[in-house]
Amino acid sequence: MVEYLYEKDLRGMQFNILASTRHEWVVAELSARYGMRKPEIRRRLIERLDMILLENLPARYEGWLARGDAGDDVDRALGVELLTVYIPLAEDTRMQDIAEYTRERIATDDAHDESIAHALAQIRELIRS
Amino acid sequence: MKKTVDVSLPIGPLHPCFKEPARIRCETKGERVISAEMDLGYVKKGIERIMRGRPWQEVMFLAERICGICSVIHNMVCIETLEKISDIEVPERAAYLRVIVNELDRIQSHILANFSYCYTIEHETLGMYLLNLRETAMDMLELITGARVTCAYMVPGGVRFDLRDEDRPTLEAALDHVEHELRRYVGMFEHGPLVAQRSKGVGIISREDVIEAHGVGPVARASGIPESDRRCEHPTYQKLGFTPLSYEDGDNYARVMLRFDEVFQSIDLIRRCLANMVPGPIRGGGTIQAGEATHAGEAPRGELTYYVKTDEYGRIVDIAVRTPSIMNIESCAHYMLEGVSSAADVTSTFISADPCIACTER
Repeated sequence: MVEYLYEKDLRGMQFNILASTRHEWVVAELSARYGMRKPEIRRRLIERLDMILLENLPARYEGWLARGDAGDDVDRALGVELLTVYIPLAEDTRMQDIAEYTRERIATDDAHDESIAHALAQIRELIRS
Repeated sequence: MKKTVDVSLPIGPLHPCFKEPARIRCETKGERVISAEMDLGYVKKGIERIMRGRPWQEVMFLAERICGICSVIHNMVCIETLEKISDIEVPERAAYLRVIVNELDRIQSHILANFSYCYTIEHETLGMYLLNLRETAMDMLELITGARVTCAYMVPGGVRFDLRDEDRPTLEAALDHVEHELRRYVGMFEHGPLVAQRSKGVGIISREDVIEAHGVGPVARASGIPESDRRCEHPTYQKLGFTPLSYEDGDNYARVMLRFDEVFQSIDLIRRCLANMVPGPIRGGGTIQAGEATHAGEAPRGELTYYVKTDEYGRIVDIAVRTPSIMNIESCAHYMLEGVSSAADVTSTFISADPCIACTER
């Protein structure tokens, strides 16, 4: 059986892309934002994104910083568009559910920081799932 | 997310239409492409790593070896970043000469990109005409810089060679020749029924999608975003009254036609430089100092960004290069190719984005 070179496991090359200065910055930002370790973030990125999206990661992150989630404070704090549009690591409907629940909770309990922290914990689990 | 597909269609890494190796995995439903993913890593050079720790005199030669098609702009942006760190001024004549050489490089790059597109849609006659015309631009690059590909023309504080008075009529005649011949070829492209069938309404990317994927250069301008670093960043281009062109359709046809129009614009810019240039020095003084800076310039494919950090001996401590093809190939793979109605249009759509794998995998 012939094994083609291009069918081999390319995770090593994907990891090399993430080793650059600008990618390292994005991984560190995501790690700090969602309270996950950097190797875990890298693993999820490698599993879910193709190589050109990995290459384009810093530009997309900068795009989100400039104009993503602009209309809503809760969306911005949770990074709803960041994780569904710009760097797609989480399922769209689940993220919207989390954001909606957090908005309701803030409106009723007025415990802003606790609600955001709870939502970020849920998002962390969503990224891991 | 995986979807139900009829066929997973691999294209590449080696394909007659691709100038460099890349693999597109298309998931199709019947003839329609529903999603596409890219595999890269076949020509990774690790050139940024090689640059670290080396003196700038070596790094400027390495920078232009990132890409063989747009080597001049890599040289220009790398040198301008070093000048920004060290506050080095460039004489006026040298600034105009830089623009002339950069625009000649843009002309040959755009003509090559459109040749590739014509070749991919099997309009080889027009492709060969364009390739022949490209030689004139390459000859002019050689006339001014002494080399066709890796020119190393720009150095901190100026350029290496002046444009001699006896070479000026040759350059002007070459510009007239390219302009005259290209008008004929653009007419062939514009009115060809085959071309229209393969290009109009194919590989569409909307303005919003371009913004989302951070698409740059002709890809963004063909989708109605008239932006270019030549207008925003560069003082010499601002002095020349440069205004970016744009199209609204965002399809293959718009991208190719935009490149043709930009060739005419480049010819006009070179003529304005020749008219404004006065005799004077082509190289000032200066020493590379410690510091860091980020600088961007408009490559033929879009915004090229260099981040450079130097030490007090002029060595490169850190460098990061963001090439335009990274964003444009992503725009192509995840937006243009989605919904393409025939697998036959995958290669032409990919080529219409003018992908440069050498730049992407620096």
